[in-house]
Amino acid sequence: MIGISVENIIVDIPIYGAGSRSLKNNILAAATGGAIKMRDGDKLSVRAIDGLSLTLNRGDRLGLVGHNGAGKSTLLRVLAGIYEPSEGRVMTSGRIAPIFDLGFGMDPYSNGWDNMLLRGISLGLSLQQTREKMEEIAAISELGEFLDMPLRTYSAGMAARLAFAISTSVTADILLVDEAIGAGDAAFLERAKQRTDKMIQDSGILVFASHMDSLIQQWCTRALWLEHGKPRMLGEVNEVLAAYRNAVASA
Amino acid sequence: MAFIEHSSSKTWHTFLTTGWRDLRDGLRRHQAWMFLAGHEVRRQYQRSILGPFWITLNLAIMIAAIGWFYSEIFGQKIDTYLPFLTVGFIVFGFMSNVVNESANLFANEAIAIRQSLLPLSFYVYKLIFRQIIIFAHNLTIYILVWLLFPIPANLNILLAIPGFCLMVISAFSVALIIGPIAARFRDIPPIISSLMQVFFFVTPIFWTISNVPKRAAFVNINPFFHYLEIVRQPLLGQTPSSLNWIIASVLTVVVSVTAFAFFSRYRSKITYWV
Repeated sequence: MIGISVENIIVDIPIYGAGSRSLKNNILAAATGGAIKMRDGDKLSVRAIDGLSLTLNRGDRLGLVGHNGAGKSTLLRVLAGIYEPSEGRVMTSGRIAPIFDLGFGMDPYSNGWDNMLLRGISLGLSLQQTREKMEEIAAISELGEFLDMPLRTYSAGMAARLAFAISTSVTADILLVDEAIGAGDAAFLERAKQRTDKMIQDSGILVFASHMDSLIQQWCTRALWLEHGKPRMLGEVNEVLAAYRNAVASA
Repeated sequence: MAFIEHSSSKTWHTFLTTGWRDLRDGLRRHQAWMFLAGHEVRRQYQRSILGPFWITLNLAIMIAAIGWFYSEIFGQKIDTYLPFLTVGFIVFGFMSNVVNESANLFANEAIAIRQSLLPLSFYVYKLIFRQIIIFAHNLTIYILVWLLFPIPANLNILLAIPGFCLMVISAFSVALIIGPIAARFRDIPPIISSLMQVFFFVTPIFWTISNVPKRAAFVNINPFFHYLEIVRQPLLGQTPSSLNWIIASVLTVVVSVTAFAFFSRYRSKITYWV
């Protein structure tokens, strides 16, 4: 069974500025405050998600909309299990693939093949699984002999193609995608679209954060509008987008 | 398929089960961290002719210089002093590298930690394995010294294997403790690096206990000394004392148990700290 269940979660992200992270302040705080313990109440934190509940089942395609800092990326990280909620709980069942930053994990000084392994590992694939996919990734990237060259010799578009080809080779039950996936020239974009569509269709659940309405409309059936970490509206994708756009326009 | 729960539950049962899951999942990905560790070592010396052997050459130059000079100062014969110094440097180097690097471990991997689903212990395994690779490279100096100044060849050398295992287990555990603390308190890395410098001088690496008979007790309270001995003595064809074995074994158990509890307790905070 594939599913996500989010029960009334709160996520506080502590902010460690110039002062509060240092040992000195903590020792001083302990000395002046009496009891020798770190007091959570004194720390500055930002409430990134504030009281959210959500249930997703197989076939659900959820788009996340909202301003910058509304909590979209944090929610994706909580669903991935990267951030543990400060309160409430998250239950997930199924293989999760977080696709947050396409180029992450790649090394400019390594060649294309090594970068497939590096990026594959950071996506959570095993070395063996990545090796099995290498031929396919090479074909999709259309980089040919460039794969034997270090990544730093690639043009920005070529590097993006490679990153795209690796990231979309992941198969997962739950796909968590942050921001738009788009790379390369027009001909490549067309094939990229087909491949992304396929990846999304193959996944059991999609949660997709984006500022591009067209992509959300294309891939998602439902949408969640977040504002200051609070769920503002959850519903059919066009309704939520319309309400969100109205609010943005009148603001 | 079972549900995986991430909750704010704060019971020791939750901590220890998730901590155990993290360590187990990390170990399962051994192929990946072995590959990455090797890749990092290679990468550091990319486009240089000697490659990773630069680490070894640096150490060899230092050992040769100090060996020649200090054997004179301490009035030691170079054919016993140089092997002693070599093994001491290589073994202590492993311990001090692990301790120093574990202080920057999670901070250096901050972006990766916020991006990927890899268990946090993955980065600890990778660090330890990278240091094992460097240790193995450095052993070539040991072999070279052996060829120049024959060390008595006997079966004692096999004792270095259990000795090294105890040292690696402890190194892993220490990294599990220092890593989270240093991620939270950014004053820790410089404190640790100056402490390790002090330990380098107060641990018998380029001097021996016989140089300081009145300070023997001081040497014996130094945990690094016992780990050093259980690897160094076998590699020199000698047997470590039973005190060395007992203290190193007890310390390994204590540090491992502490590390497991500590890492489990603070594991979920690390993502917020980096």
